[in-house]
Amino acid sequence: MGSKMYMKPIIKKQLPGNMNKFGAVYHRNYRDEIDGVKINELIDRFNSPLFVFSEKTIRTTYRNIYREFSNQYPKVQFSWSYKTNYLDAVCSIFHQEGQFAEVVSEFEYQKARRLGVPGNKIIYNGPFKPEASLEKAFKEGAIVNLDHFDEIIKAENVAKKMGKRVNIGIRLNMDTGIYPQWSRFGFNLDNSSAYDAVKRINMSEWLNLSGLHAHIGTFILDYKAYSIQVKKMIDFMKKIENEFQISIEFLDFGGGFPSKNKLKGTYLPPEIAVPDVKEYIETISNALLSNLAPNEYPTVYMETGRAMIDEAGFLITTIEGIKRLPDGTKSYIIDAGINILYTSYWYNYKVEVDRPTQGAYENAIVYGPLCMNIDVILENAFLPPLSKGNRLILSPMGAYNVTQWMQFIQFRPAVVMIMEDGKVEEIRRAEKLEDITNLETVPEKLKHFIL
Amino acid sequence: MEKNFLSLLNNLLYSYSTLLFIRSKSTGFVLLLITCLNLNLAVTGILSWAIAIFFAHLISIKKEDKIHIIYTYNALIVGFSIGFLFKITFLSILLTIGTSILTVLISYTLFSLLSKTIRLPVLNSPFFIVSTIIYLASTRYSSLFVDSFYLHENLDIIQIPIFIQGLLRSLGILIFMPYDISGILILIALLLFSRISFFLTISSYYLGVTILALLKGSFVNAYLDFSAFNFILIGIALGGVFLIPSIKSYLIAFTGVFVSVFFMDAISVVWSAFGIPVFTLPFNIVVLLFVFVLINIGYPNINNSIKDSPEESLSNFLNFTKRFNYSIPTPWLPFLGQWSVYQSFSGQWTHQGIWQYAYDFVIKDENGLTYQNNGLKLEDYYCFGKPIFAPISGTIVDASDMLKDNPIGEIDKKNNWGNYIIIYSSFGYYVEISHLQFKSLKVNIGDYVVAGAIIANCGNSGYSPEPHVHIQIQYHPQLGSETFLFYFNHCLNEKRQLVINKLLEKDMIVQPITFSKKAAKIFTFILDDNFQYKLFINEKNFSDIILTVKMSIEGSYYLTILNTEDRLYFGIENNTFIFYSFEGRKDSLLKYLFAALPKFPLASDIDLSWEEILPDNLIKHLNGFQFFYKSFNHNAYTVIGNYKLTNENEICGTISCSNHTIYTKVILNDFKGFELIEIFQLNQTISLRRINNSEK
Repeated sequence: MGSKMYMKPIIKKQLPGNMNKFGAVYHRNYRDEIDGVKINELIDRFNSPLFVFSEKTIRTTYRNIYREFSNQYPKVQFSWSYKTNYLDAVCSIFHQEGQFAEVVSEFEYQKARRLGVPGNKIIYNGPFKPEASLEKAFKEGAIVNLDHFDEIIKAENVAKKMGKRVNIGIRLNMDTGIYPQWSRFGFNLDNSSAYDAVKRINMSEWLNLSGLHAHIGTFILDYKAYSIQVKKMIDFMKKIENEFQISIEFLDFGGGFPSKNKLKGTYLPPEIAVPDVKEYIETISNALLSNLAPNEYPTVYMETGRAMIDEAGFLITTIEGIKRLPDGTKSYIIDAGINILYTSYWYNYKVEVDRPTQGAYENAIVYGPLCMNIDVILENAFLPPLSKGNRLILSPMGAYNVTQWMQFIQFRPAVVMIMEDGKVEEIRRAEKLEDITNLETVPEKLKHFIL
Repeated sequence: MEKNFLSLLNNLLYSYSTLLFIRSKSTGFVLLLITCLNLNLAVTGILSWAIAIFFAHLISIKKEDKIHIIYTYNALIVGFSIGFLFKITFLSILLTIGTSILTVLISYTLFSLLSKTIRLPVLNSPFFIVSTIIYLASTRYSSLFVDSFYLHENLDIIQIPIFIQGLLRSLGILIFMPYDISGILILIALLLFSRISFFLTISSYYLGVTILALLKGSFVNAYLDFSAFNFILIGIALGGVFLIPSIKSYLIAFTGVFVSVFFMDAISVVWSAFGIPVFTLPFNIVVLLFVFVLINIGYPNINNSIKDSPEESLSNFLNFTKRFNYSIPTPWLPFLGQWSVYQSFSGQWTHQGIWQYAYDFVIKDENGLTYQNNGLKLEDYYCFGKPIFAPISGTIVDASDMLKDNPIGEIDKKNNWGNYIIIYSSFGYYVEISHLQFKSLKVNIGDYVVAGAIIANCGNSGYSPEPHVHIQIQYHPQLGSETFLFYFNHCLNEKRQLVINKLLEKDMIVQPITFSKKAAKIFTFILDDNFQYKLFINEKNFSDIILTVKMSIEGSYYLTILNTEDRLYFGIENNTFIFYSFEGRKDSLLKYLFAALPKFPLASDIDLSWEEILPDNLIKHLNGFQFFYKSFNHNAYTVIGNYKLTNENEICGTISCSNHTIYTKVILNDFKGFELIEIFQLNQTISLRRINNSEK
């Protein structure tokens, strides 16, 4: 990035809304490359906007997390949360690294199988699993976590029809001091509905309870909640193991670790507000080791999604227009809208400019290209004066965007991956009109019109 | 009734064969037949044996296996010694009754004095004592000598050269038949049953006789010396019975033969004064002397489990020592996940002198660094604060965590060992772990910990330039005691192969196995568990078989095929499922199961692979000469199987034999036992498929 650029001294009036006692941490940095590949080069080849993933970051992040965990608990298996990002290339990296697949729908199950994940390396979660897909999952030996009583009965019927006794897990929910409490998934531990579920499963000759699953929430900033979750699940495991003479082989603690993204409404920057992933892992493994004897260690499944991928993703956008609003606020219009930035609802992304820019920083609003009033990407970006054609690099971008994005008004952009050797591979091409229209059929009667 | 008779007959034949230190009904029968050439001898012998059994029964000596055969076989030769001298008359029968009862009493006494207390064998010392007593006493019983000692010259072959005759008669005298024919028959029986014993017989005899001849100046005299049979007994006993057959045991046997010459002559000087032979006294003294010394100095190849023949003892010993080495401590790795060997045995920095047997471990990332950021803070180091686990089950005898962790760049030269824990194993050794984190002890002195329990955190206290964990084995509880050799148990290398009884090199990446609750459950077999299989040979359905779990009298569990006597012994030891040994028919299907999964760490690490030495005669049947060769080279004809956990429940194996390769596959049932056992060899596929796949 070379030497620091000279900036003319400026006197700027401080506005009350922008001050805080810790001082603001603004990202004055610019970025002209990702993993050594120039931004301009990327855009020249693949056009703007462009999602960029870094293979190196994905692998390093996983390896660091896995190393931390495996050095503190003997049996941990990470399973890649497909809903976080199910691009084939991304999933493949995780599977190469040894992760299972965690799916929450029939679609994801099929996608994982198509990619070559064996059935018995898939964890099948979610509140709705169609009967046919449940049967397939049982046949292929998937790890199935059931969500409610009707699903227990459904699973029992499927197993009975197949004539095969099947292993299942159940999802639990509980009070761990986290708000909101995700009580809509699974069986409640605190009001004994979980206990009733175990009792019901134990009565069945077709079902064998082999695991407990819980996922207490998402973007959890207080890692101590996991200690409560682990302790409660172990206590429950011991209780039912004794009472029903069963053996619980796995505990699935779900995910929910935050990434270094700035949640809207938080005061401190993520570097300070978000605890290190190490803290979460240490808390979980401490709770496991101190509550279990060595011969009791169950396999622990982790479904960490966001913390594993978010920082490996970037979105390169281009400024297409500059406007000053009637109230004097500076605004920019970029070529990426909220249709492909689902997470902009709750994150204030980190913004980097593709070149050093002179001039006074000021608050600006960044709008997307949609013809919608709500298409606001950043409400309060602190930016130097930029001109048309400048690129803004938004991050972290790896989690949820490329699964929750929608095709609205525009084509969804290409996704590329910068490989470890510096090569750039297109892992999803930009959409074309046929991609969307191929799905449609026009009834004969409507085929012709003259205007 | 019939059963009783059979077991008595078996005992008689075994008593006969024990004369040659083997346990074989056929050899016993041959010896019985040979003694029948002198009916007087045979009848007195069997009479003496029968009286001994009757008397033992009368005073209710329990049918303990060992003592049982000791008095029956001693009584048999005591009977021979009477039958050899006296014709069967009322008086000689009276004498036999008395000597037989004496034999039982003396056998029991010697067994209690020697075997129960100092692990020495009784040998045939009861025979020697009783025969000496009766020969001495009989000099006063003039009425016994009505009919004189009679010869069986028809059993001799005149033309045989004297040096062969000497050997044959010495052999014959073992059953009081010092004739050429009986000698030839015994020699043939030995050759057929045990080449090792045959070899020892010939070599010890001629060695002993040569020494005797050199000292006495006459080979003819030496060949005619009746007590030379002692050389043969010493040779077999030391070379092949009480020590494991090997070059070393043969040398020890020859040394025994050599020194026995002096005993023989010294004893005969005294004994001949009374006109009686030295019997087996030189043999008894020399063998007991050697065995006593060797046991007490801890000679490693003592035969603690004497089998039917030297060959079987050798095979059993090799199967046992090669598959299970219990003499060297094998703690678990004291951590989880992948760590790297920072300093190995005799390491360049501090593992020197009496502290050479120690390991240091650190955690490295994929770039080979032990830290992140710039490594200036303790927290940057990957291993700092990571949990440390008990490598063995044992008692905490000493521990301290009062020292602060050194900042990076500083070293505590005053307290070399830093914070530490010393755990005492009930196997008699101590494990010492060092450089623990300040205030991180999770256990107290006096606590009993099980292997794998968390005990502290990795730190940087003591003589430690960067956070790491140090482990060593010592035989004294003091901090800084001399270290001793050990290997890690359940240790995987980077290729996920089990490292068994091997040194870990510097910079090697190692990782402990992770045990699986599920695997443990699959291998928890309970008495009378039944598993039904269909047998397929080349995809053709043969018969159904049922595998059942049973327990033997002494409490070991085994699998058997219903309605057969085949036994496949198994157990779980140190989180490993083990098939210990197989007994039964040569073509039993259980052998395939043994070969397909001789050992299984109760883990679910996919790609985990391990090597296992397969017992002799499991895959390949060694013939007698191959066994004889194996006694010189214990590694000869070793069959090794390579096994790999290819899936969570699938184990594939490759066994390389001299001329072909055998492939094996085992699929585990989801709940218990084996779903499929498959063997591919020489265009043949044998598979056992479980019929009923749901749990009972």
